[in-house]
Amino acid sequence: MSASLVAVGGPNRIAGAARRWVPAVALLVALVALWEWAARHGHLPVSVAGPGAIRAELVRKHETLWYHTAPTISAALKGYVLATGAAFALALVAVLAPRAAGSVYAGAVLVSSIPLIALTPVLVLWLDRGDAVRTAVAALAGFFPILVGCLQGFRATDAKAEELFLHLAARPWQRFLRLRLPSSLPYAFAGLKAAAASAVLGAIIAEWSGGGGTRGLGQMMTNALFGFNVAQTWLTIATAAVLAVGSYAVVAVIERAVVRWDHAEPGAES
Amino acid sequence: MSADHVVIDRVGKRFPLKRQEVVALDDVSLTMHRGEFVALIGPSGCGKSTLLRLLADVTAPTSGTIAIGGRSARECRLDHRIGFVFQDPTLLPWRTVLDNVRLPVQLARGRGQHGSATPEELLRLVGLDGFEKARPSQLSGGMRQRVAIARALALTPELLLMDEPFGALDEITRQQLNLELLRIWSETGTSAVLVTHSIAEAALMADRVVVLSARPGRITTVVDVPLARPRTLDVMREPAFFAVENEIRAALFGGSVAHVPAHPVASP
Repeated sequence: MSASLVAVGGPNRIAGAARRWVPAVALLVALVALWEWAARHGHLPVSVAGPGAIRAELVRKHETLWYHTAPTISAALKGYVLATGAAFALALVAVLAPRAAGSVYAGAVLVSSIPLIALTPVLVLWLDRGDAVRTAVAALAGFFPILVGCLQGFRATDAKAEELFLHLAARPWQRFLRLRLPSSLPYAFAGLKAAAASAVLGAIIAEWSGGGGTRGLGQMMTNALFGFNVAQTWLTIATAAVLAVGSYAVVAVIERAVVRWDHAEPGAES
Repeated sequence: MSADHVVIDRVGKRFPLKRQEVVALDDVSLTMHRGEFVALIGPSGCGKSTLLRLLADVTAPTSGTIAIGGRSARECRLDHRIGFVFQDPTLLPWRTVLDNVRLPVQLARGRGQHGSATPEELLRLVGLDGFEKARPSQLSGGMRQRVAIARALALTPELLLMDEPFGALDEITRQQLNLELLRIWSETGTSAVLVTHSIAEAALMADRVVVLSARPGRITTVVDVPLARPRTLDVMREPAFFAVENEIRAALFGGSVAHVPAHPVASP
């Protein structure tokens, strides 16, 4: 590692980011081009719309699309915040009371193994068709990855740093705030990133089963599907994908701002 | 101020290991006077690091007592009277260099403790002024260990413990840091214990070199180092230095070093 302080940040970082992104973007552009070529030459099945057709549909229906997408985003966001709060609190319980950790984990696995598509109709009965259902399903979808990330993070504290804090006579809360919490952040963010996409898809799944009434990206998707509107179906699919990737990216940007130190990528060592 | 600063009295440490018991330290007694620099040397498994960890009160002895300035090691640790430099720098990667040095002060806040030197002054003392805002990952290994030394001095300890602090560094950096450590030690006036496995390092640094044997860990010999201070690398060419080295070597290897010349072989 260089002792030079000049080259950190600056152009190197931008060049590094470009090196990472260029191949991915190039691949994406190539795939879309191939897709469009296949559409124009009649190589696609009738049930698949080409990029051009989806784009035309977007231009025609962008107001409708936004009308349906806004409540989905709002529900996904609320669910995500809820999931983050619940997962963090439970991970905290598991850390403070190690004997409860097993139960927390078992309960979380149980909850996360319930198929959301089956759970939603039950929730609709309990919570009515309002916003609560899709918020709850979004929260359930995002909960588990965040919990696993937080749990792993709280356990990932360096043993040598623990000894340092012991030697420095740190109090339990100091040890948590100044050591365990910061060292858990890279792991927590791995969970938070995965959960961001899951929460969006969870909200849409809830909407398929009637969560959120008549407004929602899920509703627009089913309407288009049952109305045999191929272009609109694919517009909603593309929107869902963009939302999922976009929410992941937003969390990744926040991670960049918060976790500014070098750390081993969680999972890289296992 | 008593003559005996650190009193290690018949200390033993046993670890349970599977069905048997490992005796890491057996009946170790040693006294240090205030401001003394002692080096612990011995083969791996001789318990020299264990002895250091007992002084730091990060582990407790199975038998015997340790007193530092008339108080138990536990009291001294809780009172932040002991500075500990680990084998690894063990810096917090999310903190800047300055905030790493500040850590002990922050943890001790509310107990009315602060060092006599500010973190900024300590960074100057270890030669890292200008690097306050750097992150540990931006520093070289030697610079990181300097930060760890500054951190260990943050609350003006009366006893500085160092567990092979420069063991992972190259020879050149190591010699430089050893000399700087001597300067820092003489400027702070603390008592110091250095664990090392380098005979030359022990002879260069210490007032006394404590030689330990392995399994069970016992003190075999204590070698006085009658070299004047301040010391520079030039002392390593003095006959007295070789005599000390040989005495340590003899204590470590018994009679098998009888043929090591007391003076370097003259080059043609």
